[in-house]
Amino acid sequence: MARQFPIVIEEISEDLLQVKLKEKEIDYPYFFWQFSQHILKSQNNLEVVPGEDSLVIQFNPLLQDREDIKEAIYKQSKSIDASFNNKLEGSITVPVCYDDEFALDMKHILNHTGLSRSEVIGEHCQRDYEVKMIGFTPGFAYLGELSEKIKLPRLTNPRPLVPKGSIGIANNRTGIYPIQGPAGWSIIGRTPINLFDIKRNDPFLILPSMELNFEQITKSEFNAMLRD
Amino acid sequence: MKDIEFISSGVLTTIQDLGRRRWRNMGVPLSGAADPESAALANALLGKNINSPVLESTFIGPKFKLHSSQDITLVGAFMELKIDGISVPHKTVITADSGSIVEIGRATHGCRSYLAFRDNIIGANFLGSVSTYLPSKLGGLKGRMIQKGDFISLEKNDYKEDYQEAIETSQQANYSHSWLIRVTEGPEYDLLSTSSKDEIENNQYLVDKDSDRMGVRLNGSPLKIDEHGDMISSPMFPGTIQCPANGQPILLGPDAQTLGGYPRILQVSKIDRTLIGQLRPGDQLRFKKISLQEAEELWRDKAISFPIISHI
Repeated sequence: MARQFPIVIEEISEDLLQVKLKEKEIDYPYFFWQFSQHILKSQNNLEVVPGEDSLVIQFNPLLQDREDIKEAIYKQSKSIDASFNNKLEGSITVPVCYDDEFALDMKHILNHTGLSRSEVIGEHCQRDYEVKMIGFTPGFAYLGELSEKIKLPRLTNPRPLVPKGSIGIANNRTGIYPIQGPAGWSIIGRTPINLFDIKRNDPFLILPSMELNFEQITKSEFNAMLRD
Repeated sequence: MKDIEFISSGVLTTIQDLGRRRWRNMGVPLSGAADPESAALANALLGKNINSPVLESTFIGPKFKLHSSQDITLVGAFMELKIDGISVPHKTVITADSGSIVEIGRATHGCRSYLAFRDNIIGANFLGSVSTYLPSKLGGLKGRMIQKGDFISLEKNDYKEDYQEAIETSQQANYSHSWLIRVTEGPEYDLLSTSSKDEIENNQYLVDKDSDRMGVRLNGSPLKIDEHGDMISSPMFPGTIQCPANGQPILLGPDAQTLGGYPRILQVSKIDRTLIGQLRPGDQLRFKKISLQEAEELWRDKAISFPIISHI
């Protein structure tokens, strides 16, 4: 049965359009992600960035007509039905080594939470996560919900660079850095597996709505997987 | 092959084109020349595709030895260009012989200059662009800034287009140490207090030294933003002006993060967006609010005299 998702489009600058839902509360957390993928597929010359409760489209006001784009987006929003609300199939298990060598902020996490190392690791890897959002830096995946017991704020001094595969925690989220980059989250471990593969058409392997869990591995397992 | 040999690096020299498109939904920033109009003009002067890679110099440019004869041209911040010790003008195509020493000096006005070569700079391609993105060490020369002793190779370029009309009528931005940047209201403009809205055009800002290609930080009389202005992560673009709780606006540059949590109070209009790359620490800056219609008309008018901007 077709389900309608009425949208509103606001002009937020001469080259940016913001799309929001008319009804704020819907049981559809990945609406903006999936809608943005549809727009990107059907329109060759737009930038589309999904946020949590909106998406923003950038267009070229000299070559594209704003009203045409708006009309196309409204039309596309009407072709979305409930079958669109499918989560991505399957789930992935990400192996993580929590040794100090990789868990750059483990001491800070232990101090802050008052838990033991094994309790912290247990809280982090003994639960299922969903990929809530991708962004900030290339491929950075926001996962939720993190256990209340290991909830801590962002670092006061962000690191300019953490290695690829680093796993961070901040507030109610844990995150994965598939590419090296700057990081303001407390680093709890690292995965040896490649979550970014430039040889693929779609090089980012983690996408919003995927289910994901972590599995603890030893350092020798980490090194063995790195070699494979 | 090894056409360019760096004798000195300059302060921050990178390879840039006009940036990475259509990966922003995956967190990949645009990157590319911080002043894209100058980079495009440098390429156009050589009759090249405007998206060809160029060398972006910051504050002080590099010094290098050429191992092949090249036509070159420099556009952007006022930095003296010397070939074998002789000063040559900007926005002019000059042939530098193999073996000659090219030096780009210190900027007196503006922050970044763009050097284009007849042949094409070879850089690491990442998702369709060779632009250097320093935070993740992607693109360019091993993802980093140029260092003394580095070599850059060029490959033959046969592309030739006549942009003469575009070039003759193009106007260089009015470089100064005091900028008036035109902006439109952003989606969270209304989180500003009434008094801050009234003052925003009169506030005199100074460009902070802690500014880079991700963002230009401004210092001025703090803006008051609604305490409950905490918003959930929203899309950001180059030219978006964020206002954190401390009330000091941050003007996002080409390496801007794709999502952010601070209110988007203003957006730099396209007419002035290219100037973000020329703001340097210590410069003064004021905002001038314009309507969306004015912003669009200004941009359309500019495209009449400088048509290549429609492809930036």
